[in-house]
Amino acid sequence: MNNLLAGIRRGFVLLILALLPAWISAAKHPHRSDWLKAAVPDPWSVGRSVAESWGSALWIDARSPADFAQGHYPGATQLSDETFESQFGEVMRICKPGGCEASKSMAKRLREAGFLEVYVLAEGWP
Amino acid sequence: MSVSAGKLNRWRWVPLFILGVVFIVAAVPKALDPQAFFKAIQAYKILPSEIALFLAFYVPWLELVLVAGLGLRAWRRAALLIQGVMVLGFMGAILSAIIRGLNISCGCWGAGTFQPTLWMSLGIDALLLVVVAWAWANERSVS
Repeated sequence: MNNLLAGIRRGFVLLILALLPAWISAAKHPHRSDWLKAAVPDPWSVGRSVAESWGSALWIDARSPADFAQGHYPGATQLSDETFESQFGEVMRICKPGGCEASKSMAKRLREAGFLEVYVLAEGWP
Repeated sequence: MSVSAGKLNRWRWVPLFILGVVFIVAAVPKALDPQAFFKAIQAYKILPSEIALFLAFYVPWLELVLVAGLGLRAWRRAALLIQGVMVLGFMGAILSAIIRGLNISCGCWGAGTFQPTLWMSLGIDALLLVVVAWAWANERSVS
């Protein structure tokens, strides 16, 4: 047990030691922040920019309840066809990667019901 | 020294040598091309971009520091402990990508020509975990 604790303590030292060469390496890439701009936006970045632009946006997750339970965008609401008639203002839709057919279908229904600002998250939630 | 202890001393370097070679081969290309590694981390769609950027610079150097740790008796257990946790983390990320049906390469070996499939990468990591456990058991038996 003591050996394990000593190992953990020294492990923290190794973790901190690795920060120094990593910091030097990062310093050699002064334009590294440009990589973020060039990169495909991750769901968190998309969520942040949406939250900044449309503070009142409501995220609706159109995947199955099982997929939703495995992981979803913070604050998102799972919506099935049965609860479709609920009232929303601006609606953001989340689909599953590789098709997003469920999202597109529900977005179409929402637009037909009069909700004009309905969007589908490109690439979907991973 | 008994015969069995002598044999154990000879064999205890084998897992350490394997881990050292594998972690150096994995770390150097990533340390030389952190941008490619950043893209590989992003492809998993698990972490926010800022954390992926930090890891792109940090992970390769951590891997190299751990190899140095393996070579020093006093730091060996700590290095093995972190390597075990890292390999488990890699396996979790790969498994999650497989479950989500992502069509990506592992990114574990940099952007070179060796780009194993996710399933193959999972197998390699499972073997690495066995080697880490082997090295850990050797350390326990000689302490």
